[in-house]
Amino acid sequence: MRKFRRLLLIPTVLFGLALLAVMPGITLAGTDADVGFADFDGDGINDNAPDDDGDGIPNDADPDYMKDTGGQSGFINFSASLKATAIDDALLTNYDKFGKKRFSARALTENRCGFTSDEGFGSDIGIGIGAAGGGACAGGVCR
Amino acid sequence: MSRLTIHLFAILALTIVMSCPSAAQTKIEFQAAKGFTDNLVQDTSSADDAYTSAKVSVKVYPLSGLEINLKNEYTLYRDLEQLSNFKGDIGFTYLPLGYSSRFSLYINGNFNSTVYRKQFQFYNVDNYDSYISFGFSPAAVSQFRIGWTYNNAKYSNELKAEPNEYGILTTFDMMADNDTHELFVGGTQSFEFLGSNAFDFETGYSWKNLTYVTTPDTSDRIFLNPNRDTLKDGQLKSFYVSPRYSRSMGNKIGLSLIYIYRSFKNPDVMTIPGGSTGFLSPWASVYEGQSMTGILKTFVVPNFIVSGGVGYWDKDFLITEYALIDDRISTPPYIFRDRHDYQWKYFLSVQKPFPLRSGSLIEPALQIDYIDNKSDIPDYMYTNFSILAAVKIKM
Repeated sequence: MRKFRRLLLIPTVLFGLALLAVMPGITLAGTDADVGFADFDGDGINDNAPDDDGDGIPNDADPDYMKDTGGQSGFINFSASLKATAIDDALLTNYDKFGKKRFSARALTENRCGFTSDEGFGSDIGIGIGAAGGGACAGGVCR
Repeated sequence: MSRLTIHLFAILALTIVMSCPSAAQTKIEFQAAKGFTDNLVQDTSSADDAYTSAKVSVKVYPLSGLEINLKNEYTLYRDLEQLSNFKGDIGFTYLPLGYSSRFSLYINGNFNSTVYRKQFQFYNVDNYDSYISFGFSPAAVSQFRIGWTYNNAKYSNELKAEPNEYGILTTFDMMADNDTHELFVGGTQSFEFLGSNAFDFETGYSWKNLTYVTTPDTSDRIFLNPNRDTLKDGQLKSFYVSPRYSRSMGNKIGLSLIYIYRSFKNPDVMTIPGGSTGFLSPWASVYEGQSMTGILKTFVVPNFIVSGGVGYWDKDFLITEYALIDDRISTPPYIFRDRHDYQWKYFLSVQKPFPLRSGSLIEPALQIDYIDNKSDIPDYMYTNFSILAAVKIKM
């Protein structure tokens, strides 16, 4: 029972902190300005570099990117920028809004801890894990 | 049970797709992959095999902060057909806070079920996962985080112990069910010094509830008695620290360096019953030690994303019971065995994304891996080369 109470305490504290966060006025300063280099996902590439065609290659390194048309595909790439006000919020779909939220929370999933610390090693392209994927994985099979 | 699981996931997938209110709030991803490995089970047997996998993933966004996802994946092996397996996932991610807030909250729940064919059915496993993490950004270039993760692994078809005519166990109770709690805290700071840099530090504490046998002090060989009553429920505790440094080298190359040190509390008193640290074992990823990895990601080749990495691991696994195959009838047939590995891993991946005007993305990809593993157990002195090609379509 004591264990259960202790377990409950953790999400309760987190939710308490979250309630603080929804208070008005607590927003990121400078989201409309150039926020410069930030790398919360740890790949060495600037998270804030715009990628308007959403192909995973930032505009300034992407020969396909067409500046005048705002990108090759024209669809909104939520993961490119914190600049929420660049596009009218009312025009965004739930998918676009979720993408923006996930971008602002991207550091929260960079957990390297626990009993499976090397499972994140290898390519992050998500096609399978290959041999270098992790200790419990072989030939594409994981525990 | 396995067919029921597959049918349930298929029905769920169809239901979600057919009830989607609009295409704009539903994303579907298909993937087909073909792979080859020259050492499927990663030991001295060096058994090569090829495999094909197909994956369908559906994500629905009923609210701006909610993602519901369902994923079905089937993998078919050319030679070791019995290893072919189905894996189904269903889960959600909830992000309740606004994207311009200094605070962020990530809540995730997931269930997945993996089902093998008859020969490997003992490894059928259901995983229940939850993940809660809270972040605070004092500035756009820094963020602190704290979080808790939980995993409950249930092996639905565990191998049972079987005594032979002399009362000696020829197999063990598998006893692989376990659950794991992990607490972590960390922070990232990006800064300009001779270029663009970011430093991240994370530390955490984990504990895993499991069933074990107390390792004896005096003998390393034992007879296992079917009537033994030595199984215990216990807790394996772990502490870790992990700094990470990343750096942008121009606008087309990113470098990432990660060090992880992980230490168990009193691991030597625990022996894992009926398991090994080898292929498909739930204990293959449970070890203490340290690792260093370096990864380069680059856009230097026009329109391609290329990543390459190298890593070194020093792994000290849990002690396991191990069946001895010899003719010495005067000695017990089982020993306690400790395993210590030193491993190098290398990988290279290439992606070529084709974004379409419709908003869809087609992405062929290739991944090559190589492992060189040294171990104090001769069975695990091996190398492993594998190659995997895939096409992904995101709609």
